[in-house]
Amino acid sequence: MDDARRGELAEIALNIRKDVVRMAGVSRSYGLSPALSVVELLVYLYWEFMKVFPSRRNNPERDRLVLSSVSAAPALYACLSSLGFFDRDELWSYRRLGGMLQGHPDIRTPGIDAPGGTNGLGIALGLALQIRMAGHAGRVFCVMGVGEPRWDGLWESIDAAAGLAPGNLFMIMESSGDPRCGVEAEATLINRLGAFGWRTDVADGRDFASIERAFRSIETSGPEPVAIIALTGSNQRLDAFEPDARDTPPSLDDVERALSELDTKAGDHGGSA
Amino acid sequence: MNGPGRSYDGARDALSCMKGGGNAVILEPDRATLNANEPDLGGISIGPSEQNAVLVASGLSLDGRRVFIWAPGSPLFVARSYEQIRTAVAIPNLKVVILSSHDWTALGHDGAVGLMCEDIALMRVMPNMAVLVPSDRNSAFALTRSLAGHDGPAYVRLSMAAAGDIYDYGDGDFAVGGARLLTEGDGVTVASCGVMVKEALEAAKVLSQQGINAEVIDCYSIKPFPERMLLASVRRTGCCVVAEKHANAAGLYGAVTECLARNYTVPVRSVAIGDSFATSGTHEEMQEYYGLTHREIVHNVVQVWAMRRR
Repeated sequence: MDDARRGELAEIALNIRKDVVRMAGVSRSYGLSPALSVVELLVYLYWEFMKVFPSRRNNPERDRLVLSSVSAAPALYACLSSLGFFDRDELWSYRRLGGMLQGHPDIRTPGIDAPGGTNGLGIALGLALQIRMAGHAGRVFCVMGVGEPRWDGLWESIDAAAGLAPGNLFMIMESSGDPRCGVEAEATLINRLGAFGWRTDVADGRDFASIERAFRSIETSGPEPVAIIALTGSNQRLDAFEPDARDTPPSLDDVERALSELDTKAGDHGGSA
Repeated sequence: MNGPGRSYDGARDALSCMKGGGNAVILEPDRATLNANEPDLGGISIGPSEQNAVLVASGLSLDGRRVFIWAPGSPLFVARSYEQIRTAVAIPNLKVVILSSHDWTALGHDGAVGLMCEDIALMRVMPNMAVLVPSDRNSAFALTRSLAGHDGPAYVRLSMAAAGDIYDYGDGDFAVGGARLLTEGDGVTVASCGVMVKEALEAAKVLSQQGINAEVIDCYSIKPFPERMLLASVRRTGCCVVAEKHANAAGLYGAVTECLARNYTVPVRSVAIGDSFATSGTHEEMQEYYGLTHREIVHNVVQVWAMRRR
């Protein structure tokens, strides 16, 4: 990936973040961190790596994305509308009565490949098997949020995926390294996944070059499932929504301050980055 | 437990017929009893992992494929994986059929934990979910085959009790939302499902000797519920007894009384398990202990008949 392309992706990521902040404003949501932290990963997957066809969205050869981390749904919705799966105006009725975009991803929404709200890895495994049985080339990417490895049910699916080894299943596991979230260190996750028969790689989930290196390495993998531990987290927070952002919905003023904060941060990184 | 008429065998035969042909996948969340692990033939065995099995079934069905989960073991399966069934199957309205192979008949010694008798209630209150309890081998065979064309999720509760066949082999007239009128009469309506249909037919014989002609209905489709057949029957008889091998709340008794309360009230009695957990024992001992017998049906009929709406 050259610098120009990296700049383009950074510009897309900035716009996705701004839409996420605006969605939080109009839907009076709080707890933006899970949606903000996953933006680079989703932008890389949808704009660089996955085969998707917004104008022919049921193309059987497409890749699929299963969002296990449902708090990240606003980021996924913003990506899908930006890709042209549905009109951007839908974002402003997110979580509202009569709106298309539900709090948890719903398969009736164009571009949503799987139901959200429960352990997505089991669904991703079934989807990967179905694609194989149907003789298609599609791959399945499951995005796991910080804290999900603490749920015991996930390990049922991790075990089953290693046993059935469909060869087209990839898990992206966010890790914030924040001990307050009860989050395992990357080394612990790598050890555990390795013991279950998974191949693992680590990427800096905030850096497109690092993400690309990890994803290029999985293209040459064997049938065993692959997990990419992606470090994301604290630098994605917006001061305008801190410190008690989880308790109170953002005001219009908070949204304005967050949007200018995003612009300032982008400027600090050299214009478009 | 071996013998003729087990609904367990009928459903298993139907699934075996489906293998290798068409669009269906059979998923086994236990040691493989039905298929080896052969995805090309439509059979996947993934070991004991109930919650994961439901999620995998959801993923397999997202492109329109029909998935049957063959869950050997108690109806406890649906309790353990309730959240996954709700979120990943019922809300997206996917074509996933869950078959519980036991109504705890073969698990008598397990006691309260394994002997779950709230499964029909749990599944019946879940939107989009059809709930079916076939009474014998031949109806289970036909009903399981008909589910290949059902557009949504379904729960089928089977039994390993050798109740003897009620229907002829090859009788294919069973479908989601249906019911069968097995005997006609104007004295009392006996609505039953599963292994209790056989007991209801026995009760009808005893009652006819006492001059009460019972209408026995096999309510194998608990949801959607065959309201019209039930209402037509109670308008003739004026009273009703419900017999089911289940808790006396929110199962078939719940479906019947909700329907009657909305449309046409008559005295109703329940032959079922009361508000208690089961205890260890053999199948035969527990049928007696919990009163799941034709004698108990007769006893309840006599009570409602005396109060019948005229």
